Amino acid sequence: MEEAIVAEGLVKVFYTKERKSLFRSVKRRVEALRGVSFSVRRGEIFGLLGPNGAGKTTTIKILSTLLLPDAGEAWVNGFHVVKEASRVRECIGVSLYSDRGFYWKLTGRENLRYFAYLYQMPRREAEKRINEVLKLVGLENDADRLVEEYSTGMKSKLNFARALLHDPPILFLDEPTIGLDPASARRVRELILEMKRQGKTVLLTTHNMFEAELLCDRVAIINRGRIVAINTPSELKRRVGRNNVVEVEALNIPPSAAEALSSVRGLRRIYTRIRDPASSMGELRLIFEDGVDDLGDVLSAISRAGMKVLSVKIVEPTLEDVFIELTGEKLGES
Amino acid sequence: MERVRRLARAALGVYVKEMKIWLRYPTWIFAFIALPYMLSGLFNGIGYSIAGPRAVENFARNTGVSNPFLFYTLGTALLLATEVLLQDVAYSIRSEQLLGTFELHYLAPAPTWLIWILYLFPHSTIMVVVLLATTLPVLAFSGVLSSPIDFLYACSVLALGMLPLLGIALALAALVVRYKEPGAVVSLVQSVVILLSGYFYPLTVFPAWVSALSQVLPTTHVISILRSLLLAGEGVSPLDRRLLTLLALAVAYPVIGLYSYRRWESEARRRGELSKY
Repeated sequence: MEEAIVAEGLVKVFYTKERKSLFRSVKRRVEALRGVSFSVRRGEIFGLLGPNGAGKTTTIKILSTLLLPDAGEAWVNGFHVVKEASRVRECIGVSLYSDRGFYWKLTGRENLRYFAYLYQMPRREAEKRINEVLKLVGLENDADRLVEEYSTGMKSKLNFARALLHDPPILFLDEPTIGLDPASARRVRELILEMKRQGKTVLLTTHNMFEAELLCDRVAIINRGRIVAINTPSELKRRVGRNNVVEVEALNIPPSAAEALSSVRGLRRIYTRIRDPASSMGELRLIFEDGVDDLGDVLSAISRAGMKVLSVKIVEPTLEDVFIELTGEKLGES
Repeated sequence: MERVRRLARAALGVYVKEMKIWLRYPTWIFAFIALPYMLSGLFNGIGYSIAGPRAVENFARNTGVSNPFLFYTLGTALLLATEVLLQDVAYSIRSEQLLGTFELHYLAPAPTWLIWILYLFPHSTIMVVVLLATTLPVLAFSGVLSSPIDFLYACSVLALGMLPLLGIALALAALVVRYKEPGAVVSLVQSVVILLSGYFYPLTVFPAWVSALSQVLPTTHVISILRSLLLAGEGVSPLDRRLLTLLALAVAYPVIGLYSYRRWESEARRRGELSKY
């Protein structure tokens, strides 16, 4: 089978209770997945990119057998995720939380040893593999300290080591770098690329477009439980078009900036990102239909709106531009 | 055979892990050592304060046992064993939920209900060692352990009595998977077991309908058989009604417990409850 992972029309609905008062609650229906279909080829890094609540974790949980789908089917390594759940579990490594899921009163090594036994690995093989993964993630010198003494970055590495413990051919990584400092995040990204070099298939979820661009061979953009596009990062960015994105760094950006600039010729979309709320300093990102005709026109419109321009650049589109283009929403909005 | 070997590895993992965690919090061991004697002293004190100098005489007449200290020490030891067994699976699951490790067990190929039952073994090992170390000297000193065969018979009855408790423990664990709150239900079940098992008094003190109700509890039969064997020096036939009832409960309760747990587990996978805590 060419594909390591196949998902066909996955649907998942949750019912949550909204507490209105001490005794009164209202049931709410949440459609987490609305027919998600995709496939992941062997040996590739495939990213599910989307905002919080888009359905990324729900998808990973269905594929890793933790959650039953309401409709649709999925196969991992050729095994059906519902009918052959235990076969699926044998060939996947899953990292769900970066800093939870450990026994604090055990050392890093003891934690790994426990999970190696749960995976029913023979003792000698388990010890050998534990040493290998500890070395791989750079925890060999801290392996015999209690996990309660670990930093967030160390726990994240230990989590990664646990996913690799039984040397599975397929890895599911849910937001692998969330909450990590830049150095730890970089190390985790290097590890993911190392896994690809070893021939493993990686399905990762992220809302970090930089990470998706850097790591993924292909990306599925997911929003509100639907996949809106699947392709390589460069092909996805081509949808927005080269030379179509202008980034303006400015002061005094008003909440109505998009409205104020709507008259600029050829402008398809605009969104803002405020970095310093006190001075309303941030970026305006302008996406044009077919290249920028006249930057002067843009700058005058910005000045008329009372903003002070600090810099102007024509930039390459990012996956966030693609996301906005496809959904009309920013990655943090849904 | 390979499947059994693989499950044995999982069992070893649970055993070693739990032993290490428990031994890194050693204070509860002192509780196990002290409680049988403390509670026995407490009940003796209450007895004397109510019945005065005739307390022992009344006690012997009502229970058929002349040594109340021995009666209460054995009762408390069994009570502790029962309580640990009843609550252990539920509280272990709760602890795993809070740590974030509960869901991770569902990523391993070993059957989870078995893993949760395996949690009982390390705890039971320590408990049995401690209880034997504390109660055996008293039993020996009192001349109760005159027949090693009776003692081994008593141990077998105790082991048989633990099986239905496992079933109840799994049913309680199912409620924890669903409602994430073991305290209330576990305490309620434990209270019923304490009240109706006759750890500290003969059940004849209750109306007939309460005694009839107590027959559904395995602990009622275990304590009754053990008192006959160890304290009253009576033989118990393998065809004794109490023993046969215990055997039936040892089959029925684990089946009910396993069914409840697996049903709620599947429901939790459907509702996305495994990751909630």
